[in-house]
Amino acid sequence: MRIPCPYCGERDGAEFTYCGDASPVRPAADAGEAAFVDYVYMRSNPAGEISEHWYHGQGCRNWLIVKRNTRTHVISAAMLAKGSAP
Amino acid sequence: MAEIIIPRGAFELHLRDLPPVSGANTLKVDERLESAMATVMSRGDNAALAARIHDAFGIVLPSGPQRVSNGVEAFIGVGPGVWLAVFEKAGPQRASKLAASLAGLASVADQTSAYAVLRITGEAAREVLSRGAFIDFDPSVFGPGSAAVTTISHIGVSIWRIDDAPTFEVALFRSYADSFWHWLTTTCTALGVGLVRHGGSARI
Ligand SMILES: [Zn+2]
Repeated sequence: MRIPCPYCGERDGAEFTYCGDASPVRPAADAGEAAFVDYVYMRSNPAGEISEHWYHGQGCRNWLIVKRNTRTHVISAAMLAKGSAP
Repeated sequence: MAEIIIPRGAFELHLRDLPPVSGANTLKVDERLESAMATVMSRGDNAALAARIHDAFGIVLPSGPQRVSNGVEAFIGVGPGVWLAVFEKAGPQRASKLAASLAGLASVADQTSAYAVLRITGEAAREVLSRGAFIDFDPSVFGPGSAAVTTISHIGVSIWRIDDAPTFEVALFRSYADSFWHWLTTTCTALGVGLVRHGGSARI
């Protein structure tokens, strides 16, 4: 698998560490237990395009948000997570 | 009692065994011992930092993975808002002087002696490096001034190309020098490429 890092260019997947779904948004501190259980544990596991966090630890040492299709593994976009967070 | 020799260069014990003359299909290698190095991390205002560096060194700070040199100092992009500054001559307090000149705009950390830098020159350099790093070294995309942070044989490396010889420099944490040397010699043997010591004076 090759990931197009916006800084480094296209790189081998071994340079990256996967860190799961990038779409959950941390609830407000007083949102309550149910909201946090949802945030921490519940994932939609879509068959199709998903936004994921990947860390380019063996390259520019930045977190990326990568849009990947779970059916085809086609990566349609990758951006620095810094400044791109929802 | 046996004499204990602690060489300054991380590669010295390997380099001193190399033959001094080059023949056909050889790579010239040597370690950069005289230079100083520091990481420069922007505190956010990249434009102001670039202006300060341009005033001080006449260098246009690269926004991507490139190396820009004025012949004495060089700045190498290694990540968004992060550069390696390389000074040809170490000199006392080189990094702290840089930190003072960039005060308020960047955090500077001295890396001199943390990294070992190996200079590799010769026709076969691209092919040898291509066996280790999964990046494209074709001159059309990795010409002089190009830089990359990646891995070779699981060892984190920063690689930049200096000139058309082609000459490359590979910077790695110095404690990995023996492992890197093992990869380099094994790869050169497999490709039928010989290694000789660079010898000549360092150019930038
Ligand atoms: Zn990267």
